[in-house]
Amino acid sequence: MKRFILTKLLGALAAVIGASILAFILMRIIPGDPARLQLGPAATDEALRGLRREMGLDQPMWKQYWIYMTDFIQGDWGRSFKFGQRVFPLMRSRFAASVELGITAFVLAFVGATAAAVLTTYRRNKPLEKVANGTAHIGLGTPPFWIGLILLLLVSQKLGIFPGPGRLDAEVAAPNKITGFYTIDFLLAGDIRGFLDAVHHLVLPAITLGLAPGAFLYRLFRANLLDVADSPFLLVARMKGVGRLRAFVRHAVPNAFLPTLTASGLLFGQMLGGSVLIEELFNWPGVGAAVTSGIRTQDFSVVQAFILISALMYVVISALIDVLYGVIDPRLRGQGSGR
Amino acid sequence: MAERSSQAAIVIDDAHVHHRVGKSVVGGSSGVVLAVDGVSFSVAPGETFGVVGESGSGKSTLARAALGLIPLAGGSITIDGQPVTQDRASLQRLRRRVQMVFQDATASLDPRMTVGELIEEPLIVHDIGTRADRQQRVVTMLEQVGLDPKLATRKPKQLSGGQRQRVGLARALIVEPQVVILDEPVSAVDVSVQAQILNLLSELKASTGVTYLFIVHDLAVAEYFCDRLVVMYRGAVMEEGTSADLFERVQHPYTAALLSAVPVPDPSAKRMHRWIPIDEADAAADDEVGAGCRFRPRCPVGRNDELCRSSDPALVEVAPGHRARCHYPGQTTPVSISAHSAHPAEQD
Amino acid sequence: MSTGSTTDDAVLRVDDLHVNYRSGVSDVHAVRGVSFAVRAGERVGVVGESGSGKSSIALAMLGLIERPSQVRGSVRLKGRELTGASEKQLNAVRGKEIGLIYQDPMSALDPLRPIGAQIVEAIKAHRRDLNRDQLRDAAVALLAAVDVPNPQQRYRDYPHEYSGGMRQRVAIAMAIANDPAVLIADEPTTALDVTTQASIMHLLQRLVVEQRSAMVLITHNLGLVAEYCERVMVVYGGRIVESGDVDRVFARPEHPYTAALLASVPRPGQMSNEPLAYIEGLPPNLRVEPQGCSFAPRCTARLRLPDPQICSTVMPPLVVLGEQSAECHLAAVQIGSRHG
Repeated sequence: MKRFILTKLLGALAAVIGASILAFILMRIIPGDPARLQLGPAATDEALRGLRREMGLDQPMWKQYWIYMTDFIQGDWGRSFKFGQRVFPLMRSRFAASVELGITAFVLAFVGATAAAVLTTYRRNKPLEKVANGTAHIGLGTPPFWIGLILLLLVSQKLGIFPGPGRLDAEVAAPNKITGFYTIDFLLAGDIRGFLDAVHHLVLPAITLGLAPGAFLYRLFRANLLDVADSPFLLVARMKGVGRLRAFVRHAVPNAFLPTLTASGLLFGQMLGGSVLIEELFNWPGVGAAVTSGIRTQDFSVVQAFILISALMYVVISALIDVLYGVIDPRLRGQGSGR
Repeated sequence: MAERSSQAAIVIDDAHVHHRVGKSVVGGSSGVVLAVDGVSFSVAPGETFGVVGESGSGKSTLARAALGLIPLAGGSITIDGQPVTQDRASLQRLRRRVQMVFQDATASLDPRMTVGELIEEPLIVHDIGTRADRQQRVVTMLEQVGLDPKLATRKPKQLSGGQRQRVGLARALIVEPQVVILDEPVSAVDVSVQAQILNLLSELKASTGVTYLFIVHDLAVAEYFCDRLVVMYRGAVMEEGTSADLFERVQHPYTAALLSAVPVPDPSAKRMHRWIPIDEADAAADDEVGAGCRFRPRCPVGRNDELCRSSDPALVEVAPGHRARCHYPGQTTPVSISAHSAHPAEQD
Repeated sequence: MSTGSTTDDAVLRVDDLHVNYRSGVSDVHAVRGVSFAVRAGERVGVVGESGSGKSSIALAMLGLIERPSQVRGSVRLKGRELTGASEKQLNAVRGKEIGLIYQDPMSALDPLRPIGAQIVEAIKAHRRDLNRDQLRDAAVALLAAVDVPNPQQRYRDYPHEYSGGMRQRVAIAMAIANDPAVLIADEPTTALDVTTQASIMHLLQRLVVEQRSAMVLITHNLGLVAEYCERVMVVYGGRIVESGDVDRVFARPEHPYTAALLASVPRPGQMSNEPLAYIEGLPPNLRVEPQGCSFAPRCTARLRLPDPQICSTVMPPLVVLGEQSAECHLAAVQIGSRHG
């Protein structure tokens, strides 16, 4: 088991390094000169050279990479060419916002998908099945941006149940930044009202972000459940006298759930990375907007930081999923001795 | 039909096949399983030769090696004078002379092709005859295997299990091979269908003179259908002989145990069924074999014997044409006979 | 069709059982009016080919046939009616009064849970009073009872670490865990090697005799029934076409189907130039209600009747001769002529 985990982690590390190299090279291959972009077309050669030296662009590639990586690990993520700020504090709050949204969206999607799949397969309840399937269809077929817009218009503006765009109401002050997650920070500060407001604002964007992944997971999970429901071991459990529900929950669900782990993990990683459109729509100060502008202006540090962190997140999640598989499925661990 | 040469149809000479077994993800322990560990026998033309064994005996692996589907790690297999190699051109030629019928007819037939197409395919692959010729042969073949030619337009799923097995047979025989390897052709069908298929196989043999290599685990079928047999265990031949040799004058303890384990429905012919129990196959026990006989850990005769423990017996002739791989052939009843009796009336 | 036991010393009594599977356009009438009784400690074999409905009988007895498929008729265990009973009552019976051993050892166990836990599940379902240690000890004892070596250690292993034969032993352990009155084994050895099959069957027989349970062995293997059962019931087209003492039925079958089945198995010493007797035609289409005897289209013996057509139009009568009975027109005529 230990060797299993170690192997996975080493592989993860290799992946992250690989991603960072790739990002690094890609940014520098793109035609264009960041120095010129900064100073404009009228800049003199001397000024350009000077700025380039300042940016560290005159060093050989590998040296630049080395400097960058060593700095990165120590927390210095460079400077944004555009904003002039240091990248780390800049990205930190934006990442926190995106991750908070991503986690909420995933939890909603996952719980919703699981509940819907289990309920519709345990008792073949036609009406519920139709509702679930219909929602899944909408989720998979409709652009999230459109769904978000409709939600905002109907639920927020017309019905006023949920607030409009933004992380908090105008009157509510942001909490002390401990984690960057408003929800947690409010709780830590004991501010219940702030907490509720943050949650309130999270709902619509989370639904918008999570609907498509949720629909996907629902269908996947449901297909697996239907498959497993025909398995002999389920019948055998019932033959022992185990009740229908208990047999279903203890035997069918874990076996059906196992193959969906990978998909769940990947979707989760995706959702953490933020979505430009949704952030734009809900005025959510996340990572998406910062990165797209960074790409446009060839703001190396911003883009690289984003890629590195995203890669890190994906890889960690992926490794965790692998380990989780090993924990849940005994067949994947070590050597089985039977035939 | 093809001229019967006097040379053996199949010669298997010290064949070895290895399976690579690697378990852990990062190139951990990788072992080699000796799936076929030095098997030799020869099959005369027109003979029905049975290979009997349980799971793990290597019989199916051997069959696949004979077709060139699996490479040999040592030794040789010769079909009708031509060695079986991995060379593509020679394999192509080989497959006109040797064909295989599989256990699971359903799985071996492409569900999207019609019966006619399936049977015609081998002719196309080997570039035999014109289109008209081929169509004619397909019809003849269908009739020979007892299927209505009208079924040629149906798909496999529209046929019964027995009918599918016949299609598999037709497909193998249409290229007029010298040798047909049958891998458990009747295990997956009902008893009544089994009888039909066996009768059909007999008729086909009578009319074409084809040689059968019959892989089987059902001893009653083996005794009935085969002329000569080998019994395999863990990759090696334990006993070889004619049907009568093995079933009436059994020499090897494993064969005897196998025979005693087969339930017989005919009350008047119930062999004096003293069941010879042997311990269940256990991976741990296999590790104890070392240089000795591979059956020793489970052998009622030689389990604790020094000779059996230290030396792997060779396949020796105990009677003309009858060979056994055992240090104590013929001693098939164990020293202590089990108290178990198969007849219910004798139960306490 | 009762077979000898007229008083209710029968631990299991089935009367006119019908099972209808709802599938697509038409129903599949898998079981069409099956009646039999099993005495305590008796070993009965149910023989049939695939599609004969024999497995459905077992499932129906345990109430495991799901809606919308239907079950009609009566199944009485020790006098108590099981059809129509509530889920709760049925759960109390399954695994306690009736144990079932399923056919495929490879897929009968949950791959994600240890063997020990699955055996414990069988016990726990009926013994809420035992604590964890007691449950574990009971499970280890069961593993030992079914001849699993090193039960203490193997208790913690997972299904994929067990061989096929071992898994079947576990299945047996789960079925006998609560000392059932009836043990039903549905093709328990089909997927196993011959030597393993013999071990398992001997084990089963020993346990059944020790626990004085009745055993119902469902199989297509005539040999198994001959070796391990006292009585046999032959199933064809959803009905029991012949039943009686095993040795007698196999020596002198009264029903043409039984005779044909026996004749199609190679006899020891039979030479390959002697073709095997076989049964023409295909198994009956269970979607269609039969007219008369469902074996009629394939029966060659009926040509001995003065009016062979009667088999395809009139349901054959139940002909009883001592402990043996058969549903056959020909048998009726022959028995009649035998007794003058």
